[in-house]
Formats: sequence, structure tokens, C-alpha cells
Amino acid sequence: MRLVKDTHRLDWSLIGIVLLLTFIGLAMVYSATAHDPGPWYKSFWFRQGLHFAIGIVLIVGILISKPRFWYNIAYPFFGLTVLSLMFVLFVGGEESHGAGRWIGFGFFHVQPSEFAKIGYLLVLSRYLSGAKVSLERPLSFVIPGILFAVPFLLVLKQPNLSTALVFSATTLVCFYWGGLRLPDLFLLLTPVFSVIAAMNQIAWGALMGSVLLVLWKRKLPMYISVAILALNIGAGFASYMVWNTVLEEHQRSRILTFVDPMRDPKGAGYQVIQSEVTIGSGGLIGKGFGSGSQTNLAFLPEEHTDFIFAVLGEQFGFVGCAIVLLLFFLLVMRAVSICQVHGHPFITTMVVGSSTILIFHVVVNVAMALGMAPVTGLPLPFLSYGGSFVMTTMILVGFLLLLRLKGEEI
Amino acid sequence: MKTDRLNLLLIGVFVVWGILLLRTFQIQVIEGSVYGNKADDQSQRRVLWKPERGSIVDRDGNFLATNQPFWNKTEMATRRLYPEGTLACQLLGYTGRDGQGLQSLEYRFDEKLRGIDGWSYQTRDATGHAIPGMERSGRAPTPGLQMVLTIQRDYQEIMENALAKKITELNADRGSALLMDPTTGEILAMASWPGFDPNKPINVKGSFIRNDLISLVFEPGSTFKAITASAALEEHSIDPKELINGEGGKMALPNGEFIRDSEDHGIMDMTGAMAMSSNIAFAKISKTVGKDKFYRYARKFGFGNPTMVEIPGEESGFLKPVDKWSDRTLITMAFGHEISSTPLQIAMAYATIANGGELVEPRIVKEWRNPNTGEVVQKIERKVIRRVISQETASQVRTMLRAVVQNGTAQNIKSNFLDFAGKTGTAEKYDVVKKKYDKESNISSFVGMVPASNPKFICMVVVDQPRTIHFGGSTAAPIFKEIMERVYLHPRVSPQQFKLTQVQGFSACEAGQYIGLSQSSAVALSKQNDCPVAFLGDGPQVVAQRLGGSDNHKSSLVLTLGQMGSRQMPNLQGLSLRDALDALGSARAGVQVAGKGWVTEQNPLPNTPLVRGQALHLVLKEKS
Repeated sequence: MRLVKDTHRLDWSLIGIVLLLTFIGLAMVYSATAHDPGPWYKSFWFRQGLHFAIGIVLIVGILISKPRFWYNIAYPFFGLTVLSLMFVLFVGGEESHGAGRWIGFGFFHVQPSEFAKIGYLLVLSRYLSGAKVSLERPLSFVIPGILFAVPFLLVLKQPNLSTALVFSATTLVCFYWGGLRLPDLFLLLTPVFSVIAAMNQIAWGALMGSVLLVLWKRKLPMYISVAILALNIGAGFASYMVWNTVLEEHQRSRILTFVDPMRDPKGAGYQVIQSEVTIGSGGLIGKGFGSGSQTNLAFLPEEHTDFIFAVLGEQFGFVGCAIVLLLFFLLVMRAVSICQVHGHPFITTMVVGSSTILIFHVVVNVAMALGMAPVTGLPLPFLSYGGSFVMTTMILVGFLLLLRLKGEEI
Repeated sequence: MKTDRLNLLLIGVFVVWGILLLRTFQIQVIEGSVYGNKADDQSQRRVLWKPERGSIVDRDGNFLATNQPFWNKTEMATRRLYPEGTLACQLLGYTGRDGQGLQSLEYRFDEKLRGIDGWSYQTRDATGHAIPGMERSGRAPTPGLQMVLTIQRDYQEIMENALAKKITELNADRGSALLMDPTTGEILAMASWPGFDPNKPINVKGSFIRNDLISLVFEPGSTFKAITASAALEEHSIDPKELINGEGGKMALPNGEFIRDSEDHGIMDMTGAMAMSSNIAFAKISKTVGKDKFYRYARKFGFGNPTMVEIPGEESGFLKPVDKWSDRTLITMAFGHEISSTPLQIAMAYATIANGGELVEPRIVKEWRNPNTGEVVQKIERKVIRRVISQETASQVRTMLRAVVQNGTAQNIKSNFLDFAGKTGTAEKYDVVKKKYDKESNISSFVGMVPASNPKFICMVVVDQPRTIHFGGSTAAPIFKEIMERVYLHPRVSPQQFKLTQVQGFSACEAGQYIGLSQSSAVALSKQNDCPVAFLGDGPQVVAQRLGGSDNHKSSLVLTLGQMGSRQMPNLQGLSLRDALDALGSARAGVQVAGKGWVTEQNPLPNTPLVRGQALHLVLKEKS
């Protein structure tokens, strides 16, 4: 069997990093939920262990598979995940915290939005492996635009803004990797910036100035330049109108509170404040394993899922946080190193996308725990509890490992 | 190309990682202690533990103020209980809803009675539930000290009953009395009537709460003649045997006004002048002393200065400085005009005469005890302020005061078994607000001592606005007599036990032991004794009994219900003193304690029936 023969081509350091993070994650889930009643086989840490076991089986499966298999199933798999997203949205999934995100299969639940990340990554990689996107040819955006928009809007409607942002980040990085130039990337994003900058006329003016500058330097065909400008002005104007006339005061307040939770310390800000207090109270070396008062006394919400980083910070302090951040950074280094391996564009794009998804999760989750980003509910890879998410993470790791093993063939 | 793009992505990742790491460093290392405190603040709740308020007992250990436990929702709380009801109400004062002292001694000594709050830290989870087994210890509460008063409850009861009876008869506004040991300055009883129930201090008239002995300011009148006599005798300004012309009962002042005696007393010596209370004779005597010396004696006797008794609300009266005196001041002050004082100031001056010439400080608190061990924490010692007159002078004045009762203005109170000395007084009230004497008002007073030769007691009685009779000797003095005779006739607290024959029979209500009986048994006993009873408070048994006001000269009993222990001697072996006293309840009045620690011996033995007032002996030893 190729896998056994080619074990020297496996990235053992990446496997080591992943196993270390997995072990730390299990310990954190254990300490965060140790006070929960119930038998051990129903406990979160045991179930999380099972998730990882399944995830390892999935990795082995990926390593046995041929890249061609993934190339072939890209569209059907994507279609399946879109259907399941529609199912939770329109037929009705199980709710959790006000968002219908789950499909129940008796004893286990599946979160379609997690698998949609894989599905979208597959189709995006497949499309970009055969076509280049460029602002000079606006039509090149049509197909990837549709591929992006469908799952994006479906998860946004759930509402699951964080996963929608994962799609966006993946798209942008993969476009860039696929050859889209930086100025084009910027121009592509400007309408979104306009929506935000419209709150402040000076900011919006500065944005328009830089758009004009880039357009002038980039020397795009005139109709495209005009279209981009028009898009910016339209987005800014619409945003301004909606903000000032359409939205009610309480709706504006909700948006502002989402951006800055500290506006509402008893409500939306509660989680962020508790997370900061939990991490901060850990100090340099932490309170010791299992001794986190914030966690044990239930001051920290969502302790085993979204705020697992705070559990780590409380028990192991800055030292523990720095070690975990270092492990994640080493993971990034491995991913970058893997990306330099020569391979088929489909599989290299998949590797870049996988890395992006993982890094984006880490950055957004840790920033949220540290009170630097809105609470979006994005879990922390390898540490946060969650079956579908663990499996997605392990599949992404599997893709990273696959490139060096058999990246040339397709 | 690909490497460039990767490098750019890597730089981005590197920058973001740097920011995350710096932020982690900031909140964990730089601001770690701030967040640590925040975490403690929200999980550690400081819980206050209220100490038990110190009880107030009389000099023999009878409870005047104690605490009654009750369930307040889920917590055990205590509420102040005055088991004797209205007894000594103006002295004790009362407490507020949170147990803080609001009046009188409860107020003045709130800090000592209150004790010191204890605290501990409770760990609470996010929903506010305390986590058992995670308390962090703080400080145990220190219970308030037990205040032992100089008061004797039976004397107090005698005094209040006498006031209630006589003030009603006289149809007066108010009456007050004071009983004191003149040598030590210890106040043995002090009351104003009517009073109030400190258990329910709501809607009580302010005047009922006021302690008139220290707050009523009035012209002392004739009682001041003893001070004039003392000054003259001490200064030898006049021979006490010298005869003084009574001027036919009417003498002109330099300004044309007249001073009068009640009748023409003829020619008399100083003793006669005292006995008949001649204003004219004393006006002449004060002239022999002279302004400056006379002023100095008034001041040395304590007039114009507060006595510094430890009861809040004391007035200091007013003694005019000599340079403000008019031509007539020396003359009229001789019989207590143009000077104002409180009843207590007069009593202290008479105590000086009674004890041989030393002005002592009045005392209301005898000592402070640790409530757990019974150990005396602070003892308030006798304090002599100054010697005012010689033993000899004091003795001479006492002889004159004895003549007042023997053949003078207070003959009506001559006792067939007690030797009284004293002086009557009638005066106008000084209105503190208007700063002038109220011609309409009238205060009748009597201050006396017994026995005249070597006084054990000073007793001052003040009747405010008697309406049936106006003359001092006829209103205040009989109350004095009633109090003193009952004190001496009291079967238990009489200073001369078993030496006196009981002249006057006790009323139906003075027989019968109600303490310890159930309410129904108490009613049965009262019917048998033909004594009406009223009940106060709730509880399964009677914990205190006291004579109530008299309706149509028929006395009644007020019984306080509660649960203060049993009438049988309980088994106290191995208990701490505090627990032992609690187990004894009202019987603890007579407890005598030896040693420290836990009870090892007791007398009487367990299950022996107890008699009220019986002496109980406990021997305590430290556990080995």
C-alpha cells in the first residue's frame, strides 16, 4: 500500500503539533466540564475524544484516497452541503442559542455549516485550478461568485455570521493564491469597506481617495473603473440611508453593541468581560489545572466551546497561552512549507484554503476571547468542543498531509 | 511568484500573531492582578456576621434588656427584648429595627453593646449560589459586652410603683425619683412616670421617654437652703446657735421688693430656720457668707456644671457668675432662687452632705462583663470629685435636715421605724426655650436621706405640676416616704433584712410567685390571690412579674411571657458559662461563678426546684 510505503513523506512534525494541540484541547474540555454531573461516558471530554478518534479515521481515509477522488466529488459534495443548509434553514433544524444550525440523527447531531466549509473549499479549488480570476475580465467572477454566494447567504440567514466570514476569508486568500493581484483584491473589497466607512464622512472620503488612486495606478478598462466607483458610491450612500432612516434606534444599538460589546456590559458584553477577566486572572502561570474559579463557578459562559481559550488562560496563564499560540504558529509554518511543495493547482489551492480556514478560526476565536473582536461564535481548532467542527478540522489537516504524499498526481 | 505570495501571507499571519500575543501579555501579566481582583470580587462575597448585642442587667444580674431569637425568613436573627416591660424604660432606652441603640443607655453605649461584626468570605457561582465548603474564614463576631447597671430592679420597681400611685393621686403631669448610695454615687433606682414600653417604642410621647432627673431644669427653691447652711457653717460666718429674727414673716429688699415666709416664724436659730424653711433667716445667713464665697460653694457643690453621669441628655442648669449678680441675688439664692439646676445636681449636693462632705460622681454603669465568660472587663470605680465641706459641717447640716422631718415642714412623713432627714422645695420651672421662669408652673420636690445619722440612701423626688396640693412637703415627701419604707420592708433587698417588722401589709399582688407558670396557671393563681394580671409579650411561660399601675387603689400585676428557662435547676455539667446562663434563663439572676471554662460543679443539683432569688453556685474549670 502506498501509504505504508510513503510514510517518510508524511509531515510528522505537523502530525506532532496536531496531536499536542488535541491533547491540550482534551485536557481543557475535561477541566472546563469536570464539575458537570453524569457518568464519564456521557462527559464532554470522552465524547470529544471520540470525535478526535473519528477525525483520525477520516485523516487516514484521506491519505489513502487519491486527489482525483476529491476533484470528482467536489460539485456533488458541495451540492449535498447546500441542500443540508437549505434543510436546516427551511425545513427546520434543531436550535441552539437562537440559531437553527443542526440536523439531528437520533444520537448524534450534524452541523451542516461545518461541512459546507469543506464543500465550498472543494468547488473553489476545483474552479480556480482551471480558471484565473481577474478584474480585467469581470465575467471570471460570475461562477465563483455564485459558488460563494449560495452557501454564504444560507449560513448568514441562519444566522451564522462567523461561518459566512470563513467563506469570505477563504475566497479572498484562494483568489490571491490563484493569481488575483493585491490592488484587485483591495478594489474587490472596497464596496464592503464603503458600507462601513459611510458612518463617517471623512473616513469615506479617504476611502474614495484611495480607490481613485488605485484605479488610476491599476489602469483598468474605463467601464470597470466606473463600475467600481459607482458600486462604492452606491454602497456608501445606501449604507448611510439605511443607517440613518431605515434602521430604528434599537436596531442601530444592536449593531453597535455587536461591534463593541462593552456598550452593554450586562448583556452582550457579559461574555467578553468574563472572558477577559478569566484570562487576565490567570496571570503569568495560571491558577493550575482544574483550579479555575471563573470556569468552575460558571462565570465564564460557553466555556468548553467558544471560550476554551479563556479556560486555558485561567489555568495555565500567559505561559500556557503563549505555548498554544506558538503551536498554532508552528502549524502555520508547516502549512506554508507544505504550500511550497510543487503540486497540482487543485490540491495546492485546497491546502492554502484549508490553512486559511484553520488560521482564520484561530485568529478570530482568540481575538474574541481577548476582547478584541465581536463575539461571533467561531470555535478554536483542536481545543473547542464540537463533533462536526473536530471532524472538519481533521479533514482540513488531512488535506494538508495529502499534498506532500501525492500532490502531483490528479 | 508563489513564494512571494506565501511570504506576504506569512508576514500577515506573523503580525496578527504578534498582536494576539501582546494582548495576552497585557491582560495576563501587566493587568493580571486587576483582572484577578475582578474575578475575586464577583465570586467572593464578604458576609457579615452580626454579633449578639450585649444584655443589660441590674446590679444583681436580673435581666433588663436581652435578645430574643426568631426566624427571619431563612436566617436566625435576634430582636431586643425588655423582659421587664416598662421598668427603667427611660434609663434603658430602646433599639431600632437593625438593633442599633436609639435612646439613653442603649444609645450612649451602643458601641460597646453592639460588639464587633464578624465576617467571612463565601464563594458564590455566577447565579449567586453559595458553594458549600468553599468559605474562606475571616473574623468571628465579637459579642457585645454585658452592661451591669448600678440599678437594683426591686428598688426600681418599688420606686415606679410609688410614683405611679402617687402621681395619679396628685393629678400631676409627671413625677420623677432617684435613689442613690450617697457614698459611692451609685444610682440604685431612677424613674420618671409615666414611662413607656421599650419593646414597642412606636408613637410614644417624647416626654414619656425623657429622663427628668437629668433633663428637667428648675429653680431648686428651699432645698438649696442646705447648701446655704453648709457654706455658712464651713466658713464659720455665723454661729449656728445664733438667733435670727424672722422679721414678722416679711422683709424688704434693697429694691423695695419683699421676701416672705409662709408665716411669722418668730426668732429662731439655723436649725429652726431649716425646719420651718424660713426664707428671711436664710437670706440673712447668706449675707454673712458673702457673694464670692457663696458663689464658690454653689459651684463646689456642683451647681452650674453637669454631673457627668453617663446618661445622654443631661442639662447643666445655670449658676450666674458673680459679676452678673444683682443686689438681691445673694439674698434670694439663699433659698434657691435665681439659680437653676437638675434634680440630679441637687441629689449630688445632698449626697455630699450625706456622705460626710465629698462630692462624688454619679454612676449608672457598675461594670462591663464579657458575656461568654462572665469576666469583668471594665469596672467603673467610685470617683470623688472634690471635698466640699468637712465631716463636721456635713454632720451639722444632717442634724438640721433631720429636724425638718422631726418637727418641721416635713413632719407628715415621720416614720415610726426609719430616721429620715431631708428638705422640701417648691419652685417655678425654668423654661429652657424661653429662658425665663414660668410663673404658672410649679415643681414640688423633696430630697432626703436615711438613716439620718449615717445615710445609706439619698432619695430625691420631683413632682411636676401637682394639682391637688401645692406645698413641697405635702406632695413630694410622701412619695419619698413610700419609697424608703418599701425599700426597707422589702423581704429580699432590704438593707436591714429581718430586723424590721412589717408595718404595712403587702397588697394582694405582692404575694404569689408567677414566674415559670404557664399563662393559664398564672390566671388561675391570680384569681386565687384576687389580683388582676395583664400579660405582655408571648411565650409559653411567665418570665418576669412586676406590679402594674394602680386602678382605684387596687394594684395589678404585669406578667411578661417568654421562654427564659425552666424553674427547675437544669443540668449544666460541661456547659460554657454563657450556655449555662441561657439554660438558667431568668433564674440566672443569683448565679455566683467561680473559675473559668466549663461547668464542673453546680449547686443546687440538677432537677432541684428553684426559688426566685435563690443563690446558685457554679464552679467552672478549663478543659484539660
